[in-house]
Amino acid sequence: MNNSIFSKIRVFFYMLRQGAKNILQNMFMIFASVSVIFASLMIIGALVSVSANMQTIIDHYNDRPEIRINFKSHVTEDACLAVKEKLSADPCIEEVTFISAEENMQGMLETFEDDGNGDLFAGYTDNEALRFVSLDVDLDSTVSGEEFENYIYNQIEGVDSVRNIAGIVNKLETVKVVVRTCSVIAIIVFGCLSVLLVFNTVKLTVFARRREIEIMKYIGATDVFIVGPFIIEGFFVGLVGSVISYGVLKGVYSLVYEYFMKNTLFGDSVELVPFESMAGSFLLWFVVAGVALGVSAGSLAVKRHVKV
Amino acid sequence: MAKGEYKGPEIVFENVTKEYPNRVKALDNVSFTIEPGEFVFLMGHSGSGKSSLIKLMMLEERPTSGKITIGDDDLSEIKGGKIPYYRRKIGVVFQDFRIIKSKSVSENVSFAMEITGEKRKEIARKVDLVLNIVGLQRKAGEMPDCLSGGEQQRIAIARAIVNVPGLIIADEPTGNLDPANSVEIMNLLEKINEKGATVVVATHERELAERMGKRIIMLNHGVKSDSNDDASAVFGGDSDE
Ligand SMILES: Nc1ncnc2c1ncn2[C@@H]1O[C@H](COP(=O)(O)OP(=O)(O)O)[C@@H](O)[C@H]1O
Ligand SMILES: [Mg+2]
Repeated sequence: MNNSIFSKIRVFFYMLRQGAKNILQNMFMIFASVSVIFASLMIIGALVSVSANMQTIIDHYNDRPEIRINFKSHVTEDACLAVKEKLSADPCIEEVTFISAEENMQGMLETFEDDGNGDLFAGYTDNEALRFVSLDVDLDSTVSGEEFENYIYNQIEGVDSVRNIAGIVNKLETVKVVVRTCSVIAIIVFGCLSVLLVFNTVKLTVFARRREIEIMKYIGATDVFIVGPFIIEGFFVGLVGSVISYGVLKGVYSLVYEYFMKNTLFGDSVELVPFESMAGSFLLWFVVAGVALGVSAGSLAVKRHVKV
Repeated sequence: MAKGEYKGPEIVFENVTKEYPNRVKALDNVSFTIEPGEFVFLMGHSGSGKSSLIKLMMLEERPTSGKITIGDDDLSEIKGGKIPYYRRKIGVVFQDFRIIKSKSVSENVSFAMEITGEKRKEIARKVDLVLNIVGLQRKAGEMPDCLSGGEQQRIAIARAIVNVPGLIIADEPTGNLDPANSVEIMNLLEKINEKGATVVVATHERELAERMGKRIIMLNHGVKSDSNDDASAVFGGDSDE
């Protein structure tokens, strides 16, 4: 009997071996627990990624003017500036910005070049029919985008088209709130579900070994020595579950990401959040959550089923 | 293994009463002293409080009143995390053996040393030694289920003594054994007692106890009874310290 640091280390390794044995003998339930943690973290991870992306998409649209009025090509700069003056006087309108024909041309060129079709357009930059001026308008929150759109079409001469994204942002905001709420609910529900299941797994092992545990206590095993292997079991379940979910989430996300990079969203290319920029915190949180879950379930099971 | 290898403690019970929450008084104002290195039988009918007394010594239960001292330990002062270390100074043997079915004979014994973080080499050496003492050296690798009751109880004794405790406590150790095996177990306990350990054996088998020629502490419905012939003689004035 000695209490040296070496005997503590030997005890620690004994617990590790015992924990590993528990895991091997309890494969089926371990598999079940790992699956539940996996499913929970996947659902939570998916919701969190969606809500992170909702935010970038919203920011993307928020950076842009809510309403753009494109005039027909015959409308001159002066005529357009006159409209600008008129709109600016309206207290419901926060800001009006004039976009010259050159700027519009430049914008179109860039879009075409981005798509690799820059050459097609090269010869037409001086074509009068393709030259037009625009106004960007930011509305006060008291006016609806639709109302304003109608007003423009009816009251202003020479309007070609109005692009109104005020509605989109509002809808996205609503969706974002829904997704956020779902994420919080999912974290709570699946968190509890996982604790319950891991708790049950460990409980089964504890129950199967309660006689052995009783004997251990009679011969002077410390609580740490008895509880240690079960905590290691919970830790293992949590760790494996979280690492697998991280891997799968990463794979699925990359596919979705590539899809959206190749295709457009709402006829407008929006950059998604790359997985790598969320990955660090995801891995950290998954492992922390998984391990905390496993360890708490492990200690809870022993506390409940062994009279220490 | 020389005499005095095991350092047997003195055991003192002073006016110990144990009442369970259901109001059953298992022990009623019990006082006695067991000398260091003594071998004592705790005798009484079923329900007389023997196991309760042992549970108090193991710190599985606490007395309702009174004081218990074992060696240098006042048991009321040993709490929580200290209990396991206290128990390592005691080797305990039960009627139902309480060995682990999934572990081999030698693993059952080495287990008691692994919990203390002993070196593997030292564990192997000591396990060999105690299996020799209990005569199971040739069954070291076997599983308990393949062994007779007497042999299983000898595993339990090997486990109880492997950490060289000063005190051996046995609760009806021969209760599940035939007479021949019972005698063997008693002889084994006597052998450990001769090496210096204090040994306390609870039993309701009067003949077996009397044949060993040791002091007997009688319990009768939780009360120490001095009606027993040799008990009253030895116990003249031990109640007060
Ligand atoms: N945990 C307990 N709770 C309530 N009563 C108990 C408990 N343990 C023992 N008893 C009672 O205490 C008395 C003494 O029991 P016990 O110490 O087991 O005696 P013995 O070992 O001599 O047979 C009995 O009446 C028994 O029913
Ligand atoms: Mg009993």
